[in-house]
Amino acid sequence: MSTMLVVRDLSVTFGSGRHRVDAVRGISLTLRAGRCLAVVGESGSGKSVTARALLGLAGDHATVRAGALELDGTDLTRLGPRQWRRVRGRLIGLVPQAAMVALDPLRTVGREVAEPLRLHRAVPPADIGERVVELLTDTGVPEPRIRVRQRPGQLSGGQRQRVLIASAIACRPPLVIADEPTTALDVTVQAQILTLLDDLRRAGTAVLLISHDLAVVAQLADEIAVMRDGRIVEHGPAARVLTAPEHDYTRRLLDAVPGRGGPPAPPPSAPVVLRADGLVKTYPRPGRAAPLRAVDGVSLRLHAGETLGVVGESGSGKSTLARLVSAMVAPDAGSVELDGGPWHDLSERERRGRRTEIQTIYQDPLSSFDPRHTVEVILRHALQAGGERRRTVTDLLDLVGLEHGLARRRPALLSGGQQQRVAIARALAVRPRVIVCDEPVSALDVSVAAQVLRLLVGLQREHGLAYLFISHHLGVVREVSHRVLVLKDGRVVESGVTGEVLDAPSHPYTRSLLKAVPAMPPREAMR
Amino acid sequence: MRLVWSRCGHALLVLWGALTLTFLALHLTRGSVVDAIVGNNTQVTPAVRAQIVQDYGLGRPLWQQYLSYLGRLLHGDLGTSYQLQTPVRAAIAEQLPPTLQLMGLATLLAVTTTLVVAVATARRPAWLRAPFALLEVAGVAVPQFWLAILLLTVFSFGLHWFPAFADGPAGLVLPAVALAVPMAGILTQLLRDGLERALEQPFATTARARGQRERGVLVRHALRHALPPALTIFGLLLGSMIGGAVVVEQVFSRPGIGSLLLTAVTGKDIPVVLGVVAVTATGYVAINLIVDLLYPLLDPRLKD
Repeated sequence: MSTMLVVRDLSVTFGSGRHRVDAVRGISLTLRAGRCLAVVGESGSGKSVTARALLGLAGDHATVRAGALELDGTDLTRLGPRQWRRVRGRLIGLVPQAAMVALDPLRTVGREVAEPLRLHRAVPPADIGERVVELLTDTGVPEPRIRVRQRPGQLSGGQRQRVLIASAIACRPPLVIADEPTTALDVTVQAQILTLLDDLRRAGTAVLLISHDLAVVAQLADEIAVMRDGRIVEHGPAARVLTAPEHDYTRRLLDAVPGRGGPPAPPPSAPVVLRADGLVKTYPRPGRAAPLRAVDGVSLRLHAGETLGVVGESGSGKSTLARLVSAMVAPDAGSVELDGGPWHDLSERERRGRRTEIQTIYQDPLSSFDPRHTVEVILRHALQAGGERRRTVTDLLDLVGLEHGLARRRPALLSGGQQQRVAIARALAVRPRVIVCDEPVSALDVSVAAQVLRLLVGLQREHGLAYLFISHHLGVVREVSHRVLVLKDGRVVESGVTGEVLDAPSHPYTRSLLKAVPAMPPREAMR
Repeated sequence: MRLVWSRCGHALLVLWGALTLTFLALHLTRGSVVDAIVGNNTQVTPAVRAQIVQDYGLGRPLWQQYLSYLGRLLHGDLGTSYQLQTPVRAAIAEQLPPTLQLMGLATLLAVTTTLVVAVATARRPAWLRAPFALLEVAGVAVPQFWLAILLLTVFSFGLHWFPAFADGPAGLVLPAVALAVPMAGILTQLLRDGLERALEQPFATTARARGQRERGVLVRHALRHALPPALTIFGLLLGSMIGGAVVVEQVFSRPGIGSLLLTAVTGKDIPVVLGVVAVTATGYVAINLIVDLLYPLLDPRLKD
């Protein structure tokens, strides 16, 4: 197979002088046709900057230097702006991250997919419409002839990612760069997208896959390059890197991948702190007679010191369930009891005094903080709300393992992991019995996510907290949950002890969810 | 379609409110209504005053007066100016065309300048952007009468490019420029801001990665995202342009609604003032109705 991409000694810096940031510090890669090279790293490792530099889109403030940058024998370092434009979309296709916002929301899907075809005159103008439908069919977009006239907002996340792939491969580029192509997608959709990329590779396209998720990479990559602080710390065949990593950092990344250990041991029996029976919540659907049954007859028991995992795809009713048990919305039918007392049918005034008993932490903690408040103010307000006299802000910071110095900062200046720790500290400030964790680690890097999960488990043991743990990530759920509830279309299709449900699922839906999870070799097999 | 009807209903409601306010302004002022209508004209005979009481039905209860006021408006009867000795409607109809020409040309200039300058300077290097940004701020900050005098001094008296006071098309240029500058200044800043924000969005990166030129990303993707907020402000500015017309028409000694209004206000010719208010309110409501109806064309998501 011919060598498609040669990168030698690529470095990218932003700014200059004291503000200079070395994002990429001399990396070298080669990629052959029909192969997939994965560049793996955490936020700030320089992997996405590398991808953009290969497209000549590193930005106005970036300085890109390279010993060699060759695409199929063409020297990319010598290209002027006009020649670069002839490379982008025609010789290199980009599948961008954030499928939800990477398509122009005001243009139709058809025009978005047609854009590279028009720009590079890949097919005669009269045939563009047909070719777009063909591309959407090939990438598995259902009802392509209807979709071309729709706008991205009318498509699901998985469909949008397919549209992005269709537009990336429209001119049949020999190299496709996929930058976190499955972030924010459900496991089943993720599996379908990975299959699609795999088909491309088999058809002879060279695929450069950029990801922070080793489990995703394991599905597709022939070779893996692990990046950290702008350097490649380990590079080799995928099977070798995943099973016998040589570098410490790779080993740490692998260890952090959740869900490869067994589920936690069952907690000692304890009283029920949260009890829901036959919860129903419907929302009217504009233009349709039947309302959406977001949650449809869900019952659950949560004991003190226990974690109940709730899994399901987008739209399965997970988040509505969270809002029901924390009494943010009222159920249409059914009841919620908190700590053996009434909860859902209290008046808001009566409920306010007991709000401290159930707290929520969210996927995006930053938007749950007042951006003008410092960490200290945020936590002090929480302590005052809980009527706390003994504990101080520093006690809370110690509890979640944050340095005292961070108290004076505003949350926007903290890292994602630190922000989530502040959110946990704020929840703990009022001494709750139950914490609803709504995708608490889904936006975090694997190693950071692992630390936050360890923190949650430790706090549970220490304080007897009960967690309602909502996640679309089955590995994470397996790692922390004692029992699991599988939701589909607002109904519980399966529930039970974690090990039983996830290792021997009885419902076909649970099985399909599990089958879609990217498989990693179990931890023991690695040493 | 439902959106269109509800918007139209909303516009009518606003118009009704504005017209009711002008009625109240006349009838709730201190002193006799007849005095207000007559204004500074001291040569009004008692017979004429009796005629006014008769015409306006001033002897009748207020609500009857109000209904007949609305009825007269519906027929386009705006009352009579006892100072000009003509129906208000005729006075306005005579002065409207020059003002509409002036505002029309000014709007055209402002919109063209905005589109060209914003697209040409969005996300460009500072040396290209900074001079325009300075001019925009200056254009908004400088008092309009001063700008008008400056234009007259430089381009008419100094360079003799345009006549100072003339009725023809050449005489329209300088006043239109004076009227257009503040509008263009505000709109350009707004549009460029929107364009630059849209150019930072992930979909712009996707378009670049397809091989789209920066200009193409700007025109084919970013512009549609940046237009709605500019359009909103455009509607508001267009409504307030009548205030600018008062000043500009005065400086360039042009006939028009602005001059008519100024004379009426200084001469306390209340029927004319109220007539102009009714006409401009109608224009204002109509313009903003059109703007509202344009949104869904720019952003089809609003239809859903």
